[in-house]
Amino acid sequence: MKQIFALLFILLIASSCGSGVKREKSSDELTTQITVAVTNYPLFFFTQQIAGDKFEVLFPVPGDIDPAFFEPGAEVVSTYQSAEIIFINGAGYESWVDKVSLPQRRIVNTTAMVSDQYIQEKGMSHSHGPDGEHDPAETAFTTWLDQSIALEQAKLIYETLKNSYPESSQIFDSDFKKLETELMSLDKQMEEAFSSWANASVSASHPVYQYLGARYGLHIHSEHWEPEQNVDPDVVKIFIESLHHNDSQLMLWEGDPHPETRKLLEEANIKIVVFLPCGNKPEQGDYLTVMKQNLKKLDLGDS
Amino acid sequence: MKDSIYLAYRYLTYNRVRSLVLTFSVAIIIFLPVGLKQLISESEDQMLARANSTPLIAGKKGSPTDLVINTLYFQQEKIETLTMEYAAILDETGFGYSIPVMSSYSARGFPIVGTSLDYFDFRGLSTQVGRLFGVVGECVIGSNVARRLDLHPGDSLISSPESFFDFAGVYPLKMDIVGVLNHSNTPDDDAIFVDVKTTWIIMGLGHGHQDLMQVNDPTIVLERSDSSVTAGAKLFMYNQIDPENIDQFHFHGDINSYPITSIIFIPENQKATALLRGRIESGEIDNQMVVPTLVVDNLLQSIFRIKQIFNSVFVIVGLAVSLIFGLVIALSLRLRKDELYTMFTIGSGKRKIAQIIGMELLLLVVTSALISGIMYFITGFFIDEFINAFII
Repeated sequence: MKQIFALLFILLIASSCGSGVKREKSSDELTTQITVAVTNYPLFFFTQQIAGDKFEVLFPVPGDIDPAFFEPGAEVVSTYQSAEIIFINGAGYESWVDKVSLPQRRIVNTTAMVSDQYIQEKGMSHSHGPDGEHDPAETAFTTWLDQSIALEQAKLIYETLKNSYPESSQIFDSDFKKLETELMSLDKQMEEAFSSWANASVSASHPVYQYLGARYGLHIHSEHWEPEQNVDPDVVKIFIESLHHNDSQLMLWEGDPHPETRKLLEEANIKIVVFLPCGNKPEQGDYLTVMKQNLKKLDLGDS
Repeated sequence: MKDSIYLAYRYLTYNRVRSLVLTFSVAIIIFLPVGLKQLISESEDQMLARANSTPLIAGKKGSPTDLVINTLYFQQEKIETLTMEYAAILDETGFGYSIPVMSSYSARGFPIVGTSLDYFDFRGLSTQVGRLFGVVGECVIGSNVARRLDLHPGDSLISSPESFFDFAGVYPLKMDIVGVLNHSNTPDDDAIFVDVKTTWIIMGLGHGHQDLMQVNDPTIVLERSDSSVTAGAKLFMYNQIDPENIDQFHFHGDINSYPITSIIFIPENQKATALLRGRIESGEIDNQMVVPTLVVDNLLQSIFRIKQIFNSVFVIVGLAVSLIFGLVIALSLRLRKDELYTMFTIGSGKRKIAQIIGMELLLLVVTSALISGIMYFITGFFIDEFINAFII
């Protein structure tokens, strides 16, 4: 009898050891999950849509910071360094990339294929010493607001993932097809929505709508007004006077303008539309719903 | 037999000084050729291992040996630089990937090697303490640098100016040490690694200065308009990069036009190597691309020649020492004539006397061989250090 108990005891210990190994294996699987890092929300959304649950998509930019002006610390840099692939927006969006050390061959510039469409803007130049003038020409970077470029960016993500992980290509194929359809439809909707504004005077609170304007035939004049800023009424007046010859006026804002500024603009019959660029994670919805919401606001004529 | 050994032993210990001189002379003669052979073979192996593990090196047209020596062993010979754009051109061929190397500057006698993080993956290097560099201005040091300079993560190193007489030249950059690499018995142990962009800052191609938008001092800002600001030489330039001033650091112009000394190219496969070299040799892609193994092999041929000369010298020296050894024995036998006669008169036969003298010689040679064996062992123990310090 004692021998039987001893045997059962040994079996019990052996089975518990076995289950321990099993648990360890599953945690190993977890840690070996492939990680892909991105630098803004549109890329996060596209990658997640294409890669699904198979990959861990890292977007280490805090929700309250515009990723275009983000300066990553050592911890965030180390997160990027550990990723298998780093999708960047390019077009000068990540100015911090020049100041950090990332594994070059793992970086994929999602706008590299459309670099001929980059919009250059004149920046503030400075000079000191015998080197002559340093002219930092700035490239407009909110490329994804042109849905055809957004589609190219998504396509490059898809192709990179497919080439890097061919074993999952079937999943990528079907997921990308869905996203492609959505982005093409969004492009069409934007084209229709902006067609009525083609000859209008369109302004922007900030220079972030260059690609939107270029794609959908808008001639956008940009100010440098922050939404939360109560813009000097004299400055607003000068701005309004510069538009007075045109009846149909539209102004795109990145966020809700200050009530005083809004009042002055609305009194001048300027239609205010808060068109979210969606550079960072939206509070509600996703990239597609935010863009559709933007278009809805354009139809309704208010934020 | 035992008595012969005993008498031989007693004789050698009685004539201590003479025995010691003879023993060490013979030991050195035995050791020198085998020790040198060991040193050369080990150097060859290490140099070839480093070369064999590096598939291709691209650089500006010039001496392939200088290019390989600079890239593999960080001997900072003045070589012409090529532009970073060339790395992109090679990457675009789709045959593999490039690792840029910029090895021109030093700090406290150790070479500063500017490269990308891919270098560490490629060489299989990891940190024993700390981490790899994350932002410009940070550096990772080799284990020998850490040991010899007693440096640890958290300390800093200042780049040495290119010329002490270049007062208007590049400011030294104070680099933060963030990690120490594991010992690898390669030239990586004696190098300071930084991001290639950090070397461009050391060169002065990138820099950080006071924000000109915030400066109102008329002795600093000479001219200001809506689109430009002109500052004078009084403008304060930062010589260390920290979280507070990193925003002020910038590069002027296209980074792709910035210099690098060479590119380590890792081809996908053998076919890619052949195709790429074909394109370069046909002039389709400019600059030179060398196979380090072939270059190092050529270099080693010269060492082989030196080795043969040494071997000949050792044979001659060995012969001379053997003759002297014979002479010493002959002379000592003459000096020991009375002693040998006494041995003969007390009953020792000629054969026994010869056996005792033979044993003396045997003991001398065996002790010499043992000493040279110990020296060989000690050389083997320190050979890596020796090669790294004096050869590679």
